[in-house]
Amino acid sequence: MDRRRFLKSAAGGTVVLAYLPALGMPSEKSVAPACKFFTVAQAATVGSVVQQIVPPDEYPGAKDSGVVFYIDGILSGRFGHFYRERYERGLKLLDGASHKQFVRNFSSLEDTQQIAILRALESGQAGGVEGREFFALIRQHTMESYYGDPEHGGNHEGASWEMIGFEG
Amino acid sequence: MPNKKVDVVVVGSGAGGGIVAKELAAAGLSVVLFERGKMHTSADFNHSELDCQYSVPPAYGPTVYPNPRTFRYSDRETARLVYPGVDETYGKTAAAVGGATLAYGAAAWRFKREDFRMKSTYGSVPGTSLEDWPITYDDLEPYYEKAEYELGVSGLAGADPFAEPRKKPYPLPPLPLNAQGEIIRDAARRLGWHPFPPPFAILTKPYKGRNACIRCAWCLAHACEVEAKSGTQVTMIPLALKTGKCELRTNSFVTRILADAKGRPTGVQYYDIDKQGHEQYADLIVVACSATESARLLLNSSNKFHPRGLGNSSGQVGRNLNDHTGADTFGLFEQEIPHDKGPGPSMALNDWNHSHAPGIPGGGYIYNYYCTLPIEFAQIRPPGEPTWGKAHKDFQRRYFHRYLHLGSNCQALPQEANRIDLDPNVHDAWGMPVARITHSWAKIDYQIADFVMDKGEQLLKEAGAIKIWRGGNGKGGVGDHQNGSCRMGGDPKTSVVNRYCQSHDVDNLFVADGSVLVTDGGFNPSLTIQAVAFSAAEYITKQWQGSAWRNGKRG
Repeated sequence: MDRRRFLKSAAGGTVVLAYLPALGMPSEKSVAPACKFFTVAQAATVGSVVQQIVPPDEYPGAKDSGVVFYIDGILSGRFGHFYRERYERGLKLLDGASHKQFVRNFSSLEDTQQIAILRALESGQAGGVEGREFFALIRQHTMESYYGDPEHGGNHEGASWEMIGFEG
Repeated sequence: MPNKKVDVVVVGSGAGGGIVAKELAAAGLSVVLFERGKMHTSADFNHSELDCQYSVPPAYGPTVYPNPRTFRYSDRETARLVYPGVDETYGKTAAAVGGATLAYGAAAWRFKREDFRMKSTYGSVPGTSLEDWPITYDDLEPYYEKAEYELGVSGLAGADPFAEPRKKPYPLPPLPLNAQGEIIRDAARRLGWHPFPPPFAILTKPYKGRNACIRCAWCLAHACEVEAKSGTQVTMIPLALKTGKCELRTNSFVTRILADAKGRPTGVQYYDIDKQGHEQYADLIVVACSATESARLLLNSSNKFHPRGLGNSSGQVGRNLNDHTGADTFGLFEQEIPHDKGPGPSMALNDWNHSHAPGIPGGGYIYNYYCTLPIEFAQIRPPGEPTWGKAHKDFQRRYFHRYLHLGSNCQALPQEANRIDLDPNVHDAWGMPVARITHSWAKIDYQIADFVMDKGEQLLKEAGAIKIWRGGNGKGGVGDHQNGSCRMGGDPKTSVVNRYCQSHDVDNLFVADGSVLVTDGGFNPSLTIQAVAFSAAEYITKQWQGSAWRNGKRG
């Protein structure tokens, strides 16, 4: 479903492109701490996903580095309407696949189980084209955030730049 | 209050429009230069790869109003809605003063002789609309020179043995050699190829009041905060404004060319940032708003006498939409190759551009690519290499300083079926039908790109790469090098404008951007667009006789 509508205004017969930004925003009470869009449960799932995409070692993982808040900023921002529904559906898909295979939510799985689910999502085995495209999207957002300019909030203290020897 | 009528309206302030506006204003004509975006200044520019022309939204537009397009690979498909930045197939060029030259890579090539004579050189290629230009390299040579000197282009004359003759050297010396360029130069020489420092519209010394390049890594897709890149927003447009004869009207979107009772253009209708509609009347209309939007504007300006769109008696407006394929190759090395000294490209070769290999019309130059930032490198992996997880992170840290990217803008052949037309179902915020883009590559385009990538791989191997792979091209879609939608030609039945960019159908209508390119050459198009724009502006200036243009057919 596309959230954009073309509405014909009565005056002058011009056509107005209207956004419906309220759709898909969670009610305030369920929002995760320091987030504007993700619920507590969604933030936990996203945190687990991004931490597998860039796992911690002597340098932080993506979750430790602030990537969840970066993605939350995109989804609650001016262009969030392009992505919100894809995230909501994608996260549901992820938990659905986790329950089916391991009878638990994605965020409470072991590392090896999480990796198995994400590989299935990436290959299209779990979730078909939609699952594959969601994985590509969250991977893209994770990489740009973790390896991006620290001022955008996903590369805390420029750790990834220090790791690869990029002076900025 | 109604706008005062002027001599000339120029729609679009990019590579071509900026030049025409300045040349005509300097010749004493009154000009209004329209730009749908805004004027960015150095204060807007930051070294942020998440706030550049590749970002969502694109930092330099289009963003002023919602302005979707639709895209399909062929006319057998239903076109889908696409948005700037979000969808690669949107085919965006920056919507800002300077247009695409605000944040371009600033490669400043002259086309080769064969690029103007593709049909004569290679014959007809089935499935394509290959044509010769109505002008030759020799016709354009003085205007290339003018563009290089007016804008400020750095390079080394005589260094490329395959380059066409030139009367004067470059006004500025080439960018310094960097570590990548040195490796490429040595390997190419060992193969018997002919490497040389490529030309850029990037200042290597202060020039005409602007600063030299500071060699930062944020070049391609970023605006330059020291104004070392010679975009029209810091070169031609300030000069146009200085004449006192040119008004730059930003945040103003031109929706339609107005016409008199006989269907002849009289001005334009446009909307300001408050969505208020206005008219601007003028004797001459110059359309220069990119291959996509120029074609759309002409098609949206149909009237009783021009039912298929203004200047479209040939049915060719919008057709032959073209862009380069990429022919990129990548290599990993054991040794470190620092690549944070910008802009990056410092060595190129033309051995495989018009090498006349059997079955390969054209080709492309090969060069070491722009500095790769960490977020870009995170997306670059050989086939089969993990794209996430521990292995991805290890690769990132192991190879960020041990890899080399060779780029190439490879000539693609035009096809009539690749086109801009008006989407029958989707309108923009001003109520106008949006551009529907239909574009896909032909088999021959992949073959040409493969040929050039073979050579890139050979070069990386000679340079000592331990792992080599190639990029690829999707099914289609145009980008910053979009061209060809209003081709120039001698025959009004098969082309849209004449050699001076003047409409065959309507004498007071000109198109002066990438739209008029007949074929796209194996080079970045900006300097050729600009040489053609200088030529068109000179023609208009010579033909201009006060009010005479208003009455009779000229030229």
